[in-house]
Amino acid sequence: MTPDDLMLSLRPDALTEDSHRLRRERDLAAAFAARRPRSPLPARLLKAGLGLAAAAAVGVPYVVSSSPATAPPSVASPGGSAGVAAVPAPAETVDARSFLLAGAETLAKTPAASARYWFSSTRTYDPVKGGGVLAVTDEVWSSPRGGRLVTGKDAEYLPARPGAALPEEKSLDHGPMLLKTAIGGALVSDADVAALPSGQAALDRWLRDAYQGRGEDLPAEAAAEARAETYPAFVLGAARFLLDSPATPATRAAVLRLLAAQPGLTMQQGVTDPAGRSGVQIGLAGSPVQLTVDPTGAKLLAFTYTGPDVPEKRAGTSVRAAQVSGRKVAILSSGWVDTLGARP
Amino acid sequence: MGVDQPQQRFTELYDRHYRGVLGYALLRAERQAAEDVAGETFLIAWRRLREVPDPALPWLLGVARNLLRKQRDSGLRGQALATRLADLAPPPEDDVAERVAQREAALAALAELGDQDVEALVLASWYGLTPAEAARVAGCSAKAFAVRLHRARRRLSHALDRAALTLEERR
Repeated sequence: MTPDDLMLSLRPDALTEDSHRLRRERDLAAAFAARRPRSPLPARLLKAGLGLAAAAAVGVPYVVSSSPATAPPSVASPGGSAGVAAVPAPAETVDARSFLLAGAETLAKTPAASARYWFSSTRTYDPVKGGGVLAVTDEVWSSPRGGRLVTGKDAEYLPARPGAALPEEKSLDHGPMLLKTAIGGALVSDADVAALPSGQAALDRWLRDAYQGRGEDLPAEAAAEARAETYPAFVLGAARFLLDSPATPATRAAVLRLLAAQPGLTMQQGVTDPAGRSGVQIGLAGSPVQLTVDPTGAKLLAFTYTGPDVPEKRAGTSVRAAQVSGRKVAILSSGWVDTLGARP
Repeated sequence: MGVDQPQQRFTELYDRHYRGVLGYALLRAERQAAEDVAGETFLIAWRRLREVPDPALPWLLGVARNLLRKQRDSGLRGQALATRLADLAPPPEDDVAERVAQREAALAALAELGDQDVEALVLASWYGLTPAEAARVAGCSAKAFAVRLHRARRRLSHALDRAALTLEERR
C-alpha cells in the first residue's frame, strides 16, 4: 500500500455521494433563486511593476533546465527580430487583423507532425559598437531524451571587420535534459507547448493565467515581469515564442487569431527580414517586439527587440537570457526531424 | 426557449465538484456544517460564475477553506485532521487481519503528522491537484507545498513499510 493508496482509502466517498443525492435539488434551487451571475470585475492590472516593463517586454524571458549539469547557452535566447527595411506609414489595425486571420486559416489547414527531435535554426544579428552587426547562427535539436546545441556558427561581422575576433563554433551533445521556457508564470517544456489548447478562447484563458502568474513555481520575478507589461504586449511576446515552437499548427493558428484580437496592432508591408526575405511586420503600440511574418501570414520569419539591454541572469539551473537592444533574429528553419543532425 | 447557459454550466460544476468540496469541508466540520459550507461555496460560485476559472476545483476548495476558517462552531472542537480522517474513513472492504493491522499502523503514522502535512496528502491524493494548484488552496507557496508533501509521503511510506515488515515477522 502506498501513501496515496492509503489516503484514497480514507476518502469518505459513500458519505459525499449520499449527500450529493440528498442536497442537489435544494442547492441548485437556492442558487438559481439568488441573483444572476454578475459580470467580472475589470481586470486588476498590477501597476506596481511598471518599472520592469522594458525588461518584461519580450514576455518569455526565462529558460529553465531541470538538469543542473548544463545551463543552456544563449541559443534559446528570446528577444530579437526582424530587420525592417521599408518604413511606410502604419496601416490600419483592421488590416493587421485580416492579415493575421488569413495566416491562421492557412495554418489551420496544415497537418500536425511530430518526430523525435524539434529542430530550430536561428541567425541572430546584434548591433556592435561603431556600427554594423555581428551575425551568428545557433541550432538546436531537442528531445526529452537528449539533444544537441550548436552555437556560434557562421559568425561574421556585417560589414566585415578584418582581424576582429569572432565567436567560436561550439557543439554540445547532451543527455536527458528537460528545457523549460517561462511564458509569464507558466513553465513549459516542448511537450507542454505541443499540448497547448488549439481554440482561441481556451488559449486566451491559458495565457491569461500565465500572465497573472498562476502557473508553476518558477522565479517569481518572471511572473512579476510578465504582469508589468500589458496583456496585448504579453500576447505578442508569447506569439514570438509560440510561432517558432513545437506548438501544433492548430495552436499556432489560435495564437494568430488571439493576436489578431488584440488592440493596438500595427502592420507594415513590404519589409525585408535580416536574411533578405520579404515579409510583413506586425507590431503593437507600447511593445518593443515586432514580428516579421511571411506574406501568407502563416509563418514567422523573424523578430526584432527594440527595448533596452537586459543582462543575462543565472540562478541555479534557471537562465534568464540576455536581451540586446536592436537585436534581430531570423528563423532560418524549424520543424521535426527523426535524427540528430538532420534538418527539415 | 434556448438552454440557459449559466444554469447549465453551474449544474455541471455542481455535479462534478460537490462531492470533492464536501469531502474537504468534512475534514473541518461535522456533516451538517460541512454540507452548509459546500452549499455556500456553490452559491458564491453561482454569483461569480464568470470568474470561476478552469480548472474550477482549486478555486472552489479555496472558497470552502475561507468559509471554514470563518466558521465558529464546526462541531469538531479543534480535532486533529488525522483523527478526523480516521473517524470519517469507511470500514475496510474486507476484514483480512493483515490489511486491518496495516491500516491501523498507517492511521497511527498519520496521527503523528501535523495538520498541514495531512492536508497536503489529502489535496494531492484525493484531488490530484498539481503543487501550484494545491498551494493556492493551502495558502502557501508551491515550493513550500512540495516540501510539505514530500515529507509527509516519506513519513507515511516509512510507517507503511514498518507495518508490512512487522506483519511478515509475525507469520
